[in-house]
Amino acid sequence: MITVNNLHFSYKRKKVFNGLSLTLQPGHIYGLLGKNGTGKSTLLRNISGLLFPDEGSILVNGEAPRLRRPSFLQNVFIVPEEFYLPDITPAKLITHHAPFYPAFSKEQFDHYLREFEIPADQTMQSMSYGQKKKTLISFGLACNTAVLLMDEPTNGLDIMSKSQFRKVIAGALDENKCIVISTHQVKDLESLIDRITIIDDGKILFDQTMEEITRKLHFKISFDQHETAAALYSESSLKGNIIISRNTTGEESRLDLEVLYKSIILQQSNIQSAFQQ
Amino acid sequence: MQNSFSFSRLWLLIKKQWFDNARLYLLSWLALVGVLSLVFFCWAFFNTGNRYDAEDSFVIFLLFLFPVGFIFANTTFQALGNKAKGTDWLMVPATLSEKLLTGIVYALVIFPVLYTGIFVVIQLITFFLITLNPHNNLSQVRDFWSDLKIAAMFFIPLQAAFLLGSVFFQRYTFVKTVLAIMIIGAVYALIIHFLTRSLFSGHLHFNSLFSVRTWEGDDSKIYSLTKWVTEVSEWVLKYIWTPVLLVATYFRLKEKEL
Repeated sequence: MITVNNLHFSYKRKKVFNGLSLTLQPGHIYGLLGKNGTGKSTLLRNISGLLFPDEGSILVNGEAPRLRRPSFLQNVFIVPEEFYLPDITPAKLITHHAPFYPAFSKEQFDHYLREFEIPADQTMQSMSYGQKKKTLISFGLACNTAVLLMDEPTNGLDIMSKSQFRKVIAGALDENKCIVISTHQVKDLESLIDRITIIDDGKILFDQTMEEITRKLHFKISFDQHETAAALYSESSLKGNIIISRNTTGEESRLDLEVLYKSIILQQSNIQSAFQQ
Repeated sequence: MQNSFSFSRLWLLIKKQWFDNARLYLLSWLALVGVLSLVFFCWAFFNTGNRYDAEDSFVIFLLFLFPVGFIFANTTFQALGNKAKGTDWLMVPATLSEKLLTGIVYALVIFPVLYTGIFVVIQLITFFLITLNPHNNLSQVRDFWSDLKIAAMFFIPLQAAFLLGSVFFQRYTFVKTVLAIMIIGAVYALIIHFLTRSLFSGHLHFNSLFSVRTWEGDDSKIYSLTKWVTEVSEWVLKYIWTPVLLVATYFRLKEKEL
């Protein structure tokens, strides 16, 4: 569905990507993680045709994003970190914006608005930042585009809204849809994404499905000094030592995305070694 | 999938632009009606004597048409100077030509038509009020509509230049477009000046854009381009600017990144 091949991209003199390749398939929710300024947003903007690669190619459903053809734009919706919504009600959004998307569903939009507790008769100006963001997410989901790109979607959402967000996104996925969520707030994506891609310094540092991660790695809290020393990664916490070790028993543990992320950033080779066998 | 030009999508875009900016448009037009009414009131009220020259009102027409029109045209693609608004604009599923045409419809059709309509109505009301007094004399020699055609010849290419400016520059688009037009105008004048200076000797006087009169002492000569070259050049100068500027806007939009 999305094929990024040998992507090179730079902002004037600052090189962001130097030959990045990636394939994203429908039916999955991808978590694009990485530190600030590592190129997560830039990658989403390249995929959506808002930025053009210096070298390499991107294909989304067989179309080049930079051409910005209607057939491409009807199938890609981006919820950017900095977004704009005109000062109209969500109801007017259906009248004037939805007709551009052939697969838009009013029922779904109303349903998502209800889930997010957004009043349909309120104009955007009278809404809070979080409410506006949830309106845009609802609209993006209701457009039923094959690709839904979200850049830091949980920024500015309160705790309740974050949990509503997870519920709504999990319910919206189907086998034809590819959802890519870029964030540095890894905790927000736990139990939502099914594949994790970590970008650092313009390269893909780690790219595995959640299934594969829990099959190969074991997450636990340990008080045993020997176990901690033998772990692929460990960090101390108030509850004890959080460790990641090889999953030798086949027993599934609860994946801690934040710890996994830190372990890959800090001790990448240790973690990668578990996947190379 | 329809990737070619679609009139139904164009109509959707025109409607979308109107409803997205309805409040701003309404307030701006109301402000313009207020200002024009005030100017006409001042013109009628402060006129000394009972003679009113209707042609004065054409000056008022031009005085507001050009700057207000340029500001309006310059805001057409200003969204592209803002990452959030620009993303929204670029991601709307429509072809670039449909999006450009929507801008053209607003800047080159809706604005001048609405402005002229509002102006004519206020003008007619003012003239009617003036003629209520039987001692007043309202004279009108020149035809408003034929003057309008001449104004349009300058207005439309300049509007197109401001449309291009709104895409070309990232910030302070209006000021930068004005400066760019002034610089291009000055460079053009300098080229003509040095070209004619190198071709002709003695004192020079331009009879028109295509005819020069020179004289040295009592010797005076007139140099003119042949009739067909003059006609072709005039046609090019009158009609080529707008399409050239709009094509440049199209390609600039096509390459726009945010």
